[in-house]
Amino acid sequence: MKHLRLADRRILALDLHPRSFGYAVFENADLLDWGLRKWPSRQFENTAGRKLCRLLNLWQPMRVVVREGASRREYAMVEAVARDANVPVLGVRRAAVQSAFRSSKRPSRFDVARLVAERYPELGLRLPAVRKLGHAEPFQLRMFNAAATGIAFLRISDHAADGGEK
Amino acid sequence: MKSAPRQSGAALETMAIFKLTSYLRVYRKKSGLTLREAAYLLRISHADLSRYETRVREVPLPVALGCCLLYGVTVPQAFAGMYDLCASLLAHRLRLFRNRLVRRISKGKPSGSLTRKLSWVTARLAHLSLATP
Repeated sequence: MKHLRLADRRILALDLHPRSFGYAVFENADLLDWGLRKWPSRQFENTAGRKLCRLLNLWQPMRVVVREGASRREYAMVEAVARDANVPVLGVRRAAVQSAFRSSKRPSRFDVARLVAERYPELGLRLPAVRKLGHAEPFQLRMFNAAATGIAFLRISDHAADGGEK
Repeated sequence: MKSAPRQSGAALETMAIFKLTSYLRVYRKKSGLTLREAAYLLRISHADLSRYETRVREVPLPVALGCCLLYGVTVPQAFAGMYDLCASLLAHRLRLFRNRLVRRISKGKPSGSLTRKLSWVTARLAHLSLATP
């Protein structure tokens, strides 16, 4: 099997919420897929797990990366599904995600979304407008949060790998 | 749940995985087309296109070539894993065939057609090893 090319790393990044999650799939630095999945509140057990399971089957990631801050129920669901698929789950701290995009000031979630869209122009079409006072957070922001988590994870693992080589 | 900064990143990257058999969904999404729009352009139903993209069904040749033309990618790009697998299997069979030819040539009197075949097989093997990293 000398001719089989290796995709060094393929990760599924998730931003979990009680009735939905945003996801982004990376292969090395390439963004393969992105989107949102939602389910009715009463169908959490069946639907959420099934939707995540489909993503794992489709993309066969070597890691599931979760942005920390979601409730235990969602974490437990992800861990259970990932365990069945034999994929390790890793959490990335919010601070780590923010520091991956920090220049001078602390970036807001909209700033992070804009920076993600600059790096991956294919996401630009789905970039939400900045929230106005009294408006709810745009649903699509979850997808950008997931992509930012993936980017932060790749950056962390790159730094660690560089340090290991030295 | 473990936190990534506490993990050794070098240890995480020691594993590597093979390319996916098909990247049709990736290139469609990068082109900005919806499933229905791409299916309309390819003259197939969106349900069928979804099945091809999610690898539920094998992609027919006209659809595979249509997708490559539509998204502006080559077959090795769109079907990286499948292409690599085919190249690997073919290289294995070519090596076996080359060994067989060498044995036949060494046993008896080497004919022109046998040596021509051997040089062709050797050239194909070299091309395959260049075509796939």
